[in-house]
Amino acid sequence: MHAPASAPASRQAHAACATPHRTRPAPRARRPRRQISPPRRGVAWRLLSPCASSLFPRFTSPRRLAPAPITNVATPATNHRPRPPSPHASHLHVSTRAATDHPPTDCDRPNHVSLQIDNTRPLTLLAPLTVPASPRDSAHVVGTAPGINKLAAEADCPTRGAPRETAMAEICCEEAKSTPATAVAVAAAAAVAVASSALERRRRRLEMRRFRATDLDASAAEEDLRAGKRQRLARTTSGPCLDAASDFERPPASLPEVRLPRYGVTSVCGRRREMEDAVSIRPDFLPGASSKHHFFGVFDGHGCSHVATMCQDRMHEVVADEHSNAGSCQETAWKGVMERSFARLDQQALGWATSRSGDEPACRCEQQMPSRCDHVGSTAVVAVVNPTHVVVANAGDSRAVLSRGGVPVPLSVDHKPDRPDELARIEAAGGRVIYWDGARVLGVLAMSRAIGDGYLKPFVSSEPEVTVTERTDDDECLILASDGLWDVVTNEMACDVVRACFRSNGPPGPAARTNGVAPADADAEDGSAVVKGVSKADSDKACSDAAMLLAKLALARRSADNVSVVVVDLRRGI
Amino acid sequence: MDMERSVACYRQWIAGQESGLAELEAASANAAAGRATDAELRAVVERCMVGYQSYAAARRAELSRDDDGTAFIAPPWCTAFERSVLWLGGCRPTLTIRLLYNLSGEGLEAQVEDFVVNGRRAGGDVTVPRGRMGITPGQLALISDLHCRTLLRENALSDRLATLHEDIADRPLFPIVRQRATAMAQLSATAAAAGHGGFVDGVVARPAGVGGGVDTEVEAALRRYKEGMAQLVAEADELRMATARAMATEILTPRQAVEMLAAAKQLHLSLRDWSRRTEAAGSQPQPDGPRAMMANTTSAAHRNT
Repeated sequence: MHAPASAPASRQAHAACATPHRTRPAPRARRPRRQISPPRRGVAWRLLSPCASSLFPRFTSPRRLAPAPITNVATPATNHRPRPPSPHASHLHVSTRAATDHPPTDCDRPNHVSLQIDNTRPLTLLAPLTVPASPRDSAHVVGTAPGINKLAAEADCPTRGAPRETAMAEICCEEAKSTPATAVAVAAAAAVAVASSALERRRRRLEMRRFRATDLDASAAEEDLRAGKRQRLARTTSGPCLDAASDFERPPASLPEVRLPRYGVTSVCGRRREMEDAVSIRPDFLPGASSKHHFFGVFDGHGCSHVATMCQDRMHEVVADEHSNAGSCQETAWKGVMERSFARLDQQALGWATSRSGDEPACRCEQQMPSRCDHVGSTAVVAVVNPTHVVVANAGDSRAVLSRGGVPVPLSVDHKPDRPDELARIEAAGGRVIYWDGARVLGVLAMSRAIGDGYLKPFVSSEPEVTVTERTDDDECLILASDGLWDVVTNEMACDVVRACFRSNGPPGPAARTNGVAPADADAEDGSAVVKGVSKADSDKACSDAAMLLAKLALARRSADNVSVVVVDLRRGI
Repeated sequence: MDMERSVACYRQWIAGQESGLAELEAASANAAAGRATDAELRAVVERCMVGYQSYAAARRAELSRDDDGTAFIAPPWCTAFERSVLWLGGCRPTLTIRLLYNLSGEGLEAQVEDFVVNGRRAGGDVTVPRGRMGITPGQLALISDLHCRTLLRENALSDRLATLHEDIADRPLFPIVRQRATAMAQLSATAAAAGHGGFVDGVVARPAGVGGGVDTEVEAALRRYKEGMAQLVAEADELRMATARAMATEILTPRQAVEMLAAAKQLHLSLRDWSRRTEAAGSQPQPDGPRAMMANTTSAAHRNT
């Protein structure tokens, strides 16, 4: 018996030496690593394995990684606790500061900063607004207004030889709605637009970040407190010139309405000793499209996490790009869009070692000699949800399941090497499927398609299978998950659990918040989050309950892998 | 190293574990009956953490006395099974997290079944199940984060341990070994030439070393190794403490923390008890059947604690 601990030095050598063993697949819940990986006891890569920094919590400060100007919402010390009640008004303390790396110039100084409450009522200032003289200074404002629901701030700043930039930030204080007499423990963000060459590429987009200053939910607040009173940071990016005055006077109704999808997500490390799953959620990721398109992706890496992370960071951009190149809004165009996107990501994965910039941290696979970068890959299951259709593209053994009228409808079919058509494809290409702790391509990889895995090309293909499904009134939810869930939970069970969560949470709330906020900016995200694209606060309770319950159920059923679950509410209205 | 003192330290720790378990179980029962306030439970948790802390501190004191971490890596006062599951003198820090994953799943299956089936019947008037321990989604996310952080630090320590192991075959120990071997070969060659045997019962007679001891050069080399080991054990203790503390005081509610700590102590003491019994059974075959064996080993276990 060959020791399964060493990966083949070359395809041929391995195929020659590996005798096909027909072993009974291990019990599903205990299924071992799907890839026979290189020996892992090496010292070098573990000592400083910055790739594993992607395992780090989502709550680290983005300031470290984001070069963008960060408007620091200097919240009062009582970030999550209501301040002592005030008899008549809510007091606001706003402090802003830009964080930049370049020395301040006159161009950096905003010439106009305005604050609005509820988009209509101006803030009654108790003290004059101080405009920062340089990005390193702070702007302070103390104001008062009854029953504050929302506060918006704008800064207008001239830039060198470029259109003026306007940066905006906005904050919702929902608790004020219910308890207007209680002073709001809120700090709002103002913004300082900063001319910085690093920002040039972002100027095409006008993006704002929306966030909640406080969370009414007592239990959530309690959890947050236990979580170490995470700082919430407001981030803004600058956009094209807008007439500050007219923008200021613009009635709230004219703000573009963004309907965010209702979704929930859970991603846990579980019983594996590496976190190689990555989740990407990008609401309204095709801003130019006539209707809202939301992107959801689950990527389950193997060998290392860098391909999964790359898909998490770039897949939606590539899909958006291919969609605009396709120039057709026909649903039939999606197959080609997805195929080309997956192919591009696959190319990027193969060229990852050479193309990436030097300031990115080195991965654990890279520190091995010889480099194992081409022994790394990731599954990808991607769903694009628009008002009429659900498009699912899949490569690998993650899965998308739709619940329709109480019946689970799989929208993808796992790519396992022993799937008859996949087996035929592999053998036609000259490869072999060897049963070695389950069916494996060349005895190595327990899936027949993936992004990356250059050393198993062409047997392991990156070509996705694409399904385009028309949405119906019977649709309830869409579940995307890695095999950490599907190994131990059936499609039926998963759909039952989600529906039960929907029932228990009552009818769906408003489909989305209706304020003029574009989707989160990936670049401003913490570079090492397990879930990217959205903040937890934006998720829907019923969907979050469902995603969490499914993940916990998988853990309770002894899933041996990372577990990532995305639940999207498809009941009409998104 | 003063073995007596180390054994005493360990026995005290085990006794503390047993009394701590009783206290935690009582607190858990009180909490279940609604008789315990959060503050009381928090105090119980804190006492338990202080217990861990003081054992770690006592061990560190032992370690610093003569910098010999080796006894704690494979303590002779533990059973062979206990020694085999030790990681740098204690449990792996991630054990806490695995324990939590399992605790959080306890009772969940039945609750989910009920939730799915009865929820349908009752028209949705059922709350989302969270398992017997009631881990919330936010807590699960925090546990996963803690898991990832702890894994990294644990792996880093494991790697340093591996390096230390490999250092055995390097300076300063190995050159001394070679040097001595050469000297020995020369000595025996000279002795052979002189006509009388340099071997006694196949063992090379040591030129230096009185009463089985070794010279200062070797001692210094061994000490360096032991110091490295002591440092690793101390850091492992810190990581174990940090993980347990983050879990018990930051992530979990006092009631959940009490349950987790009780489960951890149950696990530890049961493993210890069982491995002692099997060891005792293995070393002294009992013709009188299992009952006598049980009685014997239990009393032996009691004597030893």
